[in-house]
Amino acid sequence: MVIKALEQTAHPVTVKQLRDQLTGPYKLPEERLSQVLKEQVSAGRIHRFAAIGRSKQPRYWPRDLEEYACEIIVNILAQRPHTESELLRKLRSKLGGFSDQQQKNLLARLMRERQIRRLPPFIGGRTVRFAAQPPDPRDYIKDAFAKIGKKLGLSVEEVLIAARTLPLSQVKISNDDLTEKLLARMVQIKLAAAQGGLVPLNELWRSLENEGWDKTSFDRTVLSLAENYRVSLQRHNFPASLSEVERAELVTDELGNYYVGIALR
Amino acid sequence: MNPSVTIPNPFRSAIVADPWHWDVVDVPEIHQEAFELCRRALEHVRSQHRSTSVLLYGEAGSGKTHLLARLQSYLAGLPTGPGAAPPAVFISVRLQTSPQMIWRHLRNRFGEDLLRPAADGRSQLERILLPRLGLIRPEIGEPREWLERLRSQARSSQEAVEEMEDAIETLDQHVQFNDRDLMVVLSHLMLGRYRRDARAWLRGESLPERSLSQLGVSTDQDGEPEDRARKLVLSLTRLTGSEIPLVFCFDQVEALQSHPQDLAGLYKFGQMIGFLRDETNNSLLISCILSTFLATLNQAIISSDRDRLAVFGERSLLSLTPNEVKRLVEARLNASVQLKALRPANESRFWPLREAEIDEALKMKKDTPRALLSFCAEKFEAIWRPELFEAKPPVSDFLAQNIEERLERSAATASTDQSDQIVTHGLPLLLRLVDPRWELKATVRLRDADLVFESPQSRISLCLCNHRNMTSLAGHLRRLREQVREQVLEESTREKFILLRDDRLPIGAHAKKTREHREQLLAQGFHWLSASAEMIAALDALRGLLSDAKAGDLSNGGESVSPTTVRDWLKANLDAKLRPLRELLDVILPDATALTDQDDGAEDFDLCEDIGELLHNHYLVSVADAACKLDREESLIENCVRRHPERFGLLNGPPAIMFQLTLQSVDGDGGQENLAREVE
Repeated sequence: MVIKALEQTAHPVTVKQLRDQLTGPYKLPEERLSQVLKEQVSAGRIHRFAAIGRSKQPRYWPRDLEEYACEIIVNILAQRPHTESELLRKLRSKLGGFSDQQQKNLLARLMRERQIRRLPPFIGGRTVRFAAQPPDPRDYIKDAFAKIGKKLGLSVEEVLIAARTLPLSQVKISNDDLTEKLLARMVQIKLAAAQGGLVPLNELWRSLENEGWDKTSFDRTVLSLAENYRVSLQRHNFPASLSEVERAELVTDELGNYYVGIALR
Repeated sequence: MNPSVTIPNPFRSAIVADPWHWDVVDVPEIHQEAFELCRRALEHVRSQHRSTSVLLYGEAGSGKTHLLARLQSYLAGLPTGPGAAPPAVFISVRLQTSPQMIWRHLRNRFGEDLLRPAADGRSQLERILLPRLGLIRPEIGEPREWLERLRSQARSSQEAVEEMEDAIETLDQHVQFNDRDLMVVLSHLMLGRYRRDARAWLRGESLPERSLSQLGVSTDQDGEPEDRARKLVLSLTRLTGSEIPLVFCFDQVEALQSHPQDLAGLYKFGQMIGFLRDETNNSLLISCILSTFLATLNQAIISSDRDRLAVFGERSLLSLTPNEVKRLVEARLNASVQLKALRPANESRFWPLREAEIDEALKMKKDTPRALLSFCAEKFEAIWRPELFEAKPPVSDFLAQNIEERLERSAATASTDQSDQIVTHGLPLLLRLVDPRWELKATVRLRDADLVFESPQSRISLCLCNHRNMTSLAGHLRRLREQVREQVLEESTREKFILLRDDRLPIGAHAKKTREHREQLLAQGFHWLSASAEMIAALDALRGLLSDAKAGDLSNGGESVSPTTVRDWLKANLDAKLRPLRELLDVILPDATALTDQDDGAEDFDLCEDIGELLHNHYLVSVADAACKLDREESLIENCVRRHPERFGLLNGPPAIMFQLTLQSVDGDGGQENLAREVE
């Protein structure tokens, strides 16, 4: 019954908080309840969480620390996009005993599982944000309009009116454009790429990410170029030796290959 | 006999381990661009009289070594007139070495490949030198006839020897070897005199004074050995002149790292390439690495040396296109004469495979030559002889089998000349295996120490004493004594000073100074380690296995086995499969309590070395004769031989006979056992 009660809680609870939820014969004295919880922890049925805030009391929950951290991150990002530092600050306030490295590894895992995504920075900016949803172009347009307005000394409304007069065909971007841009960027990064030199994919990704590319489009473009034999991709032979963060920067295919480099054919 | 059982699988032997072995099927379209890049670079060296370099990279199994072998075969096949110089000289350098010995390793490989016979039986060296001598000394007439005449006369006439020496001296005026000893050795090699020692000298191997005196070269080996090797390499590059390029192919660059954070070897490699690029005018330097290693290399090498690594260009070895995949499969099938004879009419060109299977390989991204050939090899077995088909073994079985083969090979080939190379390269790997905190450090306290290892708790200073030249060894030990006098040696549990000598190299009774310095050093706290042939062979097997894994050349059924997997396996199986290495560690590690030869006392050591020297010269000696020759009691000698079964064999008498151990085998459990240790 104690475990059932814990399963119904949305987050880890202290002994006192758990006792408040129990009724009748299950409402054990705090000391006894604490003892029961410790036994359950030893048996591996529930997990003990470090105290947070001013409370010195440990907390208990049937799911483990990483699972809880996942839930917190996804919930925070479901509300609105956050920068990495904002996100990690919030995570720390809700979770004790979770190291910076664990946090970063978890972010990489969630990105790989597509539960969250890295949003490209705003135009002219560098700060990367994380979100549970795909980027909303309206956020970028609003930010860009505000910047244009500031530069030209116009209000946002005036910029908006000017934008509405543009014909739609001028702003359309095709897949061909992405492909050509990626190929051109390879040579910009490394001149030798034009003669078959290898361009590291993490470097290529970072370069295009700064220009608003999202990872999904990047991966898709790279794999499609390889399928059409316009480029050759080089696998990492021992991907297990890489960290989660390093792997997240590579391109992966449906067979589980991790590609580290790209070369023109 | 059923042909399905006897026909060899045409897709086996997917790995080209050595560029000199060109007995594989080739599809020239594969990696043609990379090959063309090397060919154009070669033309550039030839026409511009300037050294240049090319960097090639690819996935494991992409065919880097195969490409080098293709280049070697291409150079060997280029037409030359009879007696003319070769179009280029090919030198293959697999970088299984330590940073401390990188130039000595290059000298060794350079010397070895210069002496390698070409298809006509003549060495590359002879093919270079003879036409050059013919050009600068036209009066000698037809160079080959001239050489034949001198060779036949040199056995009885000093005049022939002098004529050759004059010719080499004239050559020196043109090319400026700046090395008298090299000129002397070249004369010997051309005349075929003192062949064994002259070849060993060219490769940089240690020689006893007797041999050096006979060759007529300097017996003093002063100066830093790496520096000497670098100078000799530079002199050798002048042999061919600017018209004939030297093609240096550096493979397995990854093996220069003892662990992922170790950048010292790569830094030295960058320096070496930079030096060769700047100081020579006829070298093409081709380096091959794994694509994933590119970032590490860029990090380790200073940018100016990195630029010198790919002056002419760099090229990725691309994954195979569908057309190349099909061409490769077809070429392998067509190369099997027996299979061709059995092929039914109107069958597909991929028979006995089906085209759908080739498409399946493409879909599964088996798009490197190694992955494709392994895939096809399995399919072939499954179709051709399903009753005998076995899936690839688990990695642990594969590694156990592989290490046993390496142990056998190393036991047969790891000579005393290679001991320094094996120890300096293998020991850092072994120590990191047992404790990753061991770091190789610069030799500061003892300048003459060859290797210094440090962990948070302790330090090991190791001095290699594998000299054949006793004057050099005595000098080495004397310098150590002088350096030690200035310091206080710490407790042996925290710091250990070790003198290591291959026990196949006895210190003869005449080497009195050497023995005396050794005694003094032992009295000052040094430990003497007689490294057995089994230890050296096991260390060689270990470094070979790890180097292949790092370079992506260790493949189990087409799948590369990672260095981490190999390290974990080695760690778990050190005692079971590489027992001599455990014994080596027992002696080397500072907290080890195992007995070393030091504990046996000086008298026992001297006797042991005397017996070693005797058996080195006579192989089989009765204990009675030995007692007579060494002026010792028979019982003393017999007891000494019994105490050292790892060094000597004994046939119980009467009369008791002792003999040099040479035969070895690997027993079923992987431990090494001497076949003939003692015969009852």
